[in-house]
Amino acid sequence: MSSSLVLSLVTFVYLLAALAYGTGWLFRRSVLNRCATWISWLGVGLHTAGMLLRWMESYRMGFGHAPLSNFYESLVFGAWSVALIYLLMEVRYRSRELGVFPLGLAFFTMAYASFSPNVESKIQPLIPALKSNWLIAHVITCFLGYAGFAVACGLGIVYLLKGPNKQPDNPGSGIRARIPSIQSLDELMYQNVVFGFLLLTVGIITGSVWANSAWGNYWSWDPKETWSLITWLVYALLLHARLGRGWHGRRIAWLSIIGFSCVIFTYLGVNFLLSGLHSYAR
Amino acid sequence: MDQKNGILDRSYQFFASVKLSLFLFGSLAATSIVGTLIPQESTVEQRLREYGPKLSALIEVLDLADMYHSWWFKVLLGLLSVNLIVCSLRRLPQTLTLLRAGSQTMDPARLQKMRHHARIQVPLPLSESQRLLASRLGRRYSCQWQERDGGWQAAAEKGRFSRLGVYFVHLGVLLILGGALIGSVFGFRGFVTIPESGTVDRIFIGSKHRVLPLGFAIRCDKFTVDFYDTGAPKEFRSDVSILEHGDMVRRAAILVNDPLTFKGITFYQATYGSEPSDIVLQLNDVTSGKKLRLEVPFRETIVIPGTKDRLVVMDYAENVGNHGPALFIAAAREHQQPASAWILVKQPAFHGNRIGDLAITAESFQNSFYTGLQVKKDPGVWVIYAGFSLMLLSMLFALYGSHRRMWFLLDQGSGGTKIMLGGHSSKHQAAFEREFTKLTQEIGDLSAYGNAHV
Repeated sequence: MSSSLVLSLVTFVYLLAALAYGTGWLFRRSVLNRCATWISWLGVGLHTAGMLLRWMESYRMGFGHAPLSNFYESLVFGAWSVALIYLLMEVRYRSRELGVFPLGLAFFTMAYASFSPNVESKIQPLIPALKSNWLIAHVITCFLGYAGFAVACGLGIVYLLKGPNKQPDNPGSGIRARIPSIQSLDELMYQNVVFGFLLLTVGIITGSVWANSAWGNYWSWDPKETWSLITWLVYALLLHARLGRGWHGRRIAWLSIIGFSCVIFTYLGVNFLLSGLHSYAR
Repeated sequence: MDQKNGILDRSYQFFASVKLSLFLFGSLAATSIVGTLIPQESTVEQRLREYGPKLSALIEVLDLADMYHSWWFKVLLGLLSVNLIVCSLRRLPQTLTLLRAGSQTMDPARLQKMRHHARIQVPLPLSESQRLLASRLGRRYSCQWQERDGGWQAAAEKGRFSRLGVYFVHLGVLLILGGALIGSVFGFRGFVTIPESGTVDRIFIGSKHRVLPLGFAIRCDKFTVDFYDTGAPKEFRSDVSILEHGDMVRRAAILVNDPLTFKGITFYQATYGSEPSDIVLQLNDVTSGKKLRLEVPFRETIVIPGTKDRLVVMDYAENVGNHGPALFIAAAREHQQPASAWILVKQPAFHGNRIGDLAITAESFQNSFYTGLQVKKDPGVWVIYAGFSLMLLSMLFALYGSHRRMWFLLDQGSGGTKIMLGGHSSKHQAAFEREFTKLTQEIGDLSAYGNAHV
């Protein structure tokens, strides 16, 4: 079985998981939610196998490298990160209510990667600049960080939708009642931002050390670098506002949404709208 | 005098404030966007064409085409450094006091005012409860036990150094900014091209074409480029020798991602190209009928022997007008205007292969590679790397660690031990609450735990 077949299969497993989470949430069926968790873990397992298979295939083609080198592979790894980060959060905080969002995101990312004609999924050999051990560390840390920010942004949106419900313990009615309490949303959002911030910092640092060994410049204000710094500054602002000025709730939710917009622009906007050293990521 | 102190005090407060940090993060982020939208290091002409005179003037005034090195961006970075330093200096003494304050004596009234507190009764004698609790806590906390009029008091804490994490993160950021400053003051960035078997002992700095002698020479012994079957480049490799006073002191290969450092100067594989060498020309003066066979170097003006005419091969192109490779040659003959022409290599009979009345045929030449190396000296890099490591390590402590403190009061009650506990955490209140609740339950179950071991 080829890796691209496995990875297209993963797309449908994620769709199934998202649907199960969604219906379980809407119709209050915790059985469905539990099923969704198992389906998601199955998806992540297959996804991991698919990426490993692709890695092996690249060796069979004679220029083996980790599947982290072009746009298709980054989308695939990004979807994997989002699903995994969410599932780990589920294990830690025992809350299954919001799985439809991260698994939905993983599904759409995989669907775009697998079926969009704009995304080249062929395994390509590495150009000289990418031949470095820093590649793996850089891409993995950046995308795990992005995944943390994605989950935080989703939680932020849910927080704002849950809306101006001032009484903290009033469960309300309808869908609103079926999401975690406002306090735990706030806490989860913060935890995901902290994780993302730490990983983004490692990502920027590994990228910088790598750039210094490849091009002799640890920082060249290339648009990708600059946008990653902008993202970092937005989240630094969020953390300082929370820890230093006691911001909570809606403000943090908004900052987390703004931060993730910067992530999206760093990842996609820079590739498609601006040009620079990262142009091979197209 | 008072007022002067007031101003000093207020500016100190201002520079130490988190508000200023938030403002600086926001404005650094917002202004950085501008630099990614306006092409950096463009020329005045390009900007005039792209943006028109008014916007160009604005770009000029604010230095937006080299924004990240503009005075106002440096001011923002400078303010950030001042903010970091002043803020840390203001808060550090309080933190150190907090850390030095060991176990205070605790009384029930204070304990009950804590955010988290509980009262438990366990059906065990006082000494037994104390022993079991001490062994329970000892695994997770550093504890200090004291006897206290008929009972026991314990002060437990963990993660106290997480309070210092933030200072080391900030020190890391300062090291990074300082390293960048060191690099820009004491370092340089330059460029050099070396033809195969050519030697250079100087490089070009920046765009101003300043020449910098290296203090040694570097020779390109061989340049190779490999391609994959797909046609994509696989490897660029320059085999070089370092020469000092004419003696070879080192041989090395420079590859992308694998630079060479010699005496603090680092060479990076940046580009390559090919240029003709060993060019042999046949010159035929149509008027005088004189013929000449001549070997000329690339891009060096020579005087044609026996005349006062000068000639230079200025350029080479792989394909000119679909007629194959061609040399661009300029000639300045005595009493004539200088003139130039593309001389087609593969078509010697082409009528345009002449400059004035000088017909030229390119008899032969070699195509040899030259390598383009980025040359850099940056003594600040190690400071920056130290800053990176410090920042990362201490970020772990600052973001994931929290200073958790708890106090316990044990008293003999009727039919068991009365235990009061209370505590607080510097961060992660929700997690601490879970921990506190769990510990309270465990203490409630102490007797069961004790019996199981008896």
